Amino acid sequence: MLRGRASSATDASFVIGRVEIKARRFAGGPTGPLLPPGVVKVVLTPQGREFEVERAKRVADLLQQLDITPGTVLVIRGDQLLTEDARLSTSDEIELRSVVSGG
Amino acid sequence: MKCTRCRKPAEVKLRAHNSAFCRACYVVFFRRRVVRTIEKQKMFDGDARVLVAVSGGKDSLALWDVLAEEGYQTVGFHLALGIGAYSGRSLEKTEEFARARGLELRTHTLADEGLAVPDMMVATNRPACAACGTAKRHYFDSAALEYDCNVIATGHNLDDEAARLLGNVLRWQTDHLARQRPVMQPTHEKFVRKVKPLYLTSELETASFAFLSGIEYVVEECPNAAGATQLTYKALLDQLESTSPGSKLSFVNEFVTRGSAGFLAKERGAAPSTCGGCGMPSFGELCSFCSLRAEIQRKQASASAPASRS
Repeated sequence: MLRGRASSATDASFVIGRVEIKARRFAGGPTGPLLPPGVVKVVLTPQGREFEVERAKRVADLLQQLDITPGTVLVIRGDQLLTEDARLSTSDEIELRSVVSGG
Repeated sequence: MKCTRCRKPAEVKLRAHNSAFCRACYVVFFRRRVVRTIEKQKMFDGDARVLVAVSGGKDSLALWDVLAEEGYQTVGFHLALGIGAYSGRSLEKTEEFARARGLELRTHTLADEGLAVPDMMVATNRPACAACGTAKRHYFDSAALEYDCNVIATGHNLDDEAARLLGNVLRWQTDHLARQRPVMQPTHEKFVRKVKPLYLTSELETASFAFLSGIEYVVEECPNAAGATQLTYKALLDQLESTSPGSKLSFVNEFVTRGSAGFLAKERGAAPSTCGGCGMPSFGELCSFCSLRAEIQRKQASASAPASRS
């Protein structure tokens, strides 16, 4: 079930189950897709799998929700690396790039 | 989180070192750490001509970048393994890296001799990694001689060494433990010293350095690595590291500092003779690679021969 924390910058709302979601537009401006607040887009490389993760305020939350051991991925936002305490926002697109190699 | 050195926002947190770094400070930290390891372990000095074994991955390209930037004389050597698109991309990244920095790169293609890794795997009916490792050792040694290098540097990192050490300890493979060192001295006039300047830097550290230095590397893994035991060991060690930071570093570092000498003393065996096939050092009539090549050629010949009529 989708859940989200109400945001003061909301511009739409919808209900899923019994939960009212107040959402704001995702990256791309007024024509962009609607996502609930606190939802972060994540791509896992090199696997290429994509997720939308809810209620991940910080990188540490994100890794915990995806059950990824800290230190086994680079957390990349744009051209920057993020540390575990870095805050995330709804418009973020995060790449989690595995650092594990070899066989 | 702030940079431990300059208090700017940090991009890398290293729990094992209880430190965090901004981009500029991290690059300096990483380079100094690699150079200090080279100097402390007496791997080579500024007069050496270093053959850097480059796969196109983060570790070997990070290593080559540091060595070249720090003024060491380097020759990159890439062995094209013939593992489909993965090998193609690996060569491409390596060539791009060398071209952009004006570095000397030499390559050898296994498929040119009918010895692409998938072909060797089929012919020998053994895991791909066994044949691949044998071919790499042979061609790295040969390339060092051919390109007049007196040291071979590989990108083995702390996680590689910790996983290998765990595997060796679990089976108490004393002969393997004797050979697990960051500096391997030559045992034959045609061998050169082999060194691992990244043996104390973790995969997270090399990947962070590669990313922050703008190094374009092959992110995907070798398809043959899936399910490898070493990856299981790495996952176990990562779990341990997450609850006890610095475990991998102390495991490897203490073994090298205090443990390995005892195994080395017990395992000193006969010096190698010369291979009848390629002239490189060997412990038998043929070296491991020439034996492998002969086996493959035999099997390929018998497979292509017309069936005899009874």
